[in-house]
Amino acid sequence: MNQVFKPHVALVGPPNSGKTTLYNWLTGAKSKTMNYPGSTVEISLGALRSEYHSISSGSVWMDTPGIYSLFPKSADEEVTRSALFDRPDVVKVVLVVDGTQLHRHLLLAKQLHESNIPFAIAVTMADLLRKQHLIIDSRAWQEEFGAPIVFVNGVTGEGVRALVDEIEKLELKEKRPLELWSETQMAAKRKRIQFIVDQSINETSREKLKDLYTPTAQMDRWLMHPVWGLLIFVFLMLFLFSGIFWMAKPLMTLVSDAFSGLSDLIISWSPQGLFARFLAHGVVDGLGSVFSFVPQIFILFIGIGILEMTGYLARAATLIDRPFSKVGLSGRSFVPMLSGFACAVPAVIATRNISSVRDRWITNFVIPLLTCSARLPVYAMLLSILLLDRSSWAKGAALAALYFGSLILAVLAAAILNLILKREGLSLFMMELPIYRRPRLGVLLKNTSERTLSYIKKAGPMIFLFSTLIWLGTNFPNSDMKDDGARLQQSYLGQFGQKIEPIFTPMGVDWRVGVGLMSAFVARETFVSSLSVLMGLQTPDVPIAEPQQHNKFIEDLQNAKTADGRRLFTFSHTLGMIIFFMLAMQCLSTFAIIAREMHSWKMAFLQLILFNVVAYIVTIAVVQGLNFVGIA
Amino acid sequence: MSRIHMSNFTDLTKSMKASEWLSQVGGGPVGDVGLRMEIAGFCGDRQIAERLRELGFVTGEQLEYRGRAPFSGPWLLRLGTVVMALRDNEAECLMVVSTP
Repeated sequence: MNQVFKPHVALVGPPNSGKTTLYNWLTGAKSKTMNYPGSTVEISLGALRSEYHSISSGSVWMDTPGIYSLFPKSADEEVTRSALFDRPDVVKVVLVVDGTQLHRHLLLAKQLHESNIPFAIAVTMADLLRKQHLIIDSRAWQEEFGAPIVFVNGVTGEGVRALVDEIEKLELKEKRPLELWSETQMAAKRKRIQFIVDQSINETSREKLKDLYTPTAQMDRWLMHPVWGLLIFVFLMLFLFSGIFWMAKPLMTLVSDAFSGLSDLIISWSPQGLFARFLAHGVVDGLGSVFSFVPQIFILFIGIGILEMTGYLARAATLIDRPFSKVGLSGRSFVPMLSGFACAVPAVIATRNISSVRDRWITNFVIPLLTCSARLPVYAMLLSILLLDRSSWAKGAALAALYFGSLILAVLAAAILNLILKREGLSLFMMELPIYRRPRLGVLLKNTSERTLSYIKKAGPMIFLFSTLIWLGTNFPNSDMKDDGARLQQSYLGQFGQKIEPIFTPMGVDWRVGVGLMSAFVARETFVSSLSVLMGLQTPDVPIAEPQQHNKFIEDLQNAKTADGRRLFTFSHTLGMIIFFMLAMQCLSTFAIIAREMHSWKMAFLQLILFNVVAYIVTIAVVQGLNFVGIA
Repeated sequence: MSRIHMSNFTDLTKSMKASEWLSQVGGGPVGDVGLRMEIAGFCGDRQIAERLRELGFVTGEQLEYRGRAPFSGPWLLRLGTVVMALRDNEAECLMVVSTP
């Protein structure tokens, strides 16, 4: 067979089959997450570890989203199906099945066999099987599925070499799409698999297999209990969220200090140089705003990763399914919404395992309302102005209220959509609650780094590009002018802002805040740095995640006056800004990812326009209403 | 509308939708955990039935009731070495007979 492409080996298997652990044994540290041409989905690709190169070299290995069947019923199942059948370079498959779940998982073997794809079966959890002295005689399946079988141990990596060897020996075949099975065919094939697997496990082993679930069942009596389970769930979520703040704080300070240090250093080399200023304030500060949120996102992903690997995440989704489905969401919306508190971009990607198009649409629609980490510095700044003389406790409580408020807003929005949208299509929950397992640190760190890196790659260039543009817009045409305020006023962006000032006047703010708001469309956190530039203030020592600490920057903002001498950030105006940030859809990365993931520019534009118009109207109503009753 | 497909070996007269059966026996919050039933067949929505089969629900297999998620949420059914959480409308597509 002539091949101009590198042959790919796809790892395919049901969720929780140990696929990703095996992928890590096969590919080592160097792997990349890829967006498939023509599809929207990330699939991990990696080169085989060098220690196996003596057996096989040059092949690319691929980790795919978990599937139960080659008849897809959700977006991520469709991705895997498409990877197998629409790509000519995917020539071989490793079917990964859990050794304790053979009855259920081997259905895929039957399907792969019928599609004529050359494949080997990797049976995971070999360590668990051995510990329980379970004996599986796989000879019968070899004949049934026409595939070699290798037992692999996810803890030690035993069996991985043999697997590579078997894959190498497989002969290439012409694959063909799987024909739909009728109900009777499905039933018959299921029965047949049941029979084959029963033959391969003797009576005592079968009994032992059942005992494997006993500890999990005992834990679930508490963790899935209608009362205790719910309390534990709330406690775990609170711990995760507070953890995102207190664990990330020192790291975030470190990152933002490093970037502002670098920016200062560049300025000190050439205090007047235009290029130095561009490098420092355009490039470095822009990058700093991307990277200072990485620790939070990393920690959130670690938390989600632990919950996922232990098997708790499936339980959390089950616990919350009923209340969520009342408002048009699904228990499966839980993970995406949890991620939405860090960043909407990975959250939107995580909605892929929601099988119902309608549920997925509603989930994606409300995700931008959740308090993502980019809103944090903005809220911190605005709350500090609003509650300047109050105790730090009050500021903390106000911030917590904003977080909780955003969740309520999202649920309300979902409930409204649920009423408006017609009920149609298939909405499946059917969640598998796997055996509780200990998370594996190596795999956890690798996956988390991959996800974090993918966030940086996605959001980074946009933020970088726009912060550069804003710098240019605020520094030209009079880039050599000494006075920052005057330079800004006469800059392109300044002139433009003054022209459209009437739009912002009803919100109680002037053109400078207006331009700041527009810059927030790049990334919300840009609002803080833009405002400091626009107001001609010192580079802010942004009180990220620490609204209790007020400083000179906040006091300056509080005292800032408009051109006609009114105070700019009065109570009503500041509150108006907070409300605007809660409702507005200002993130172009989110806009882009929603258009891509949902294959719908219509939805993305609908969100962009609707959210911003509503935000604008509500803000004006609140500001004008407060002013009307005499609150400035 | 709902077509019923069943194995020949089960006493059809006694089978009922899993959701109905569970509502009767599993009425107490977690009190009746451990009750067993046997899968007698599938009915209702074809796609749901297909996915149930793909997930490993097979006629003749034993299920064990493991409780229910809060707020009358999904039913928890143990199937061999895994527990499946099924919503009402999903458990409705599963026909069962109780086993002593």
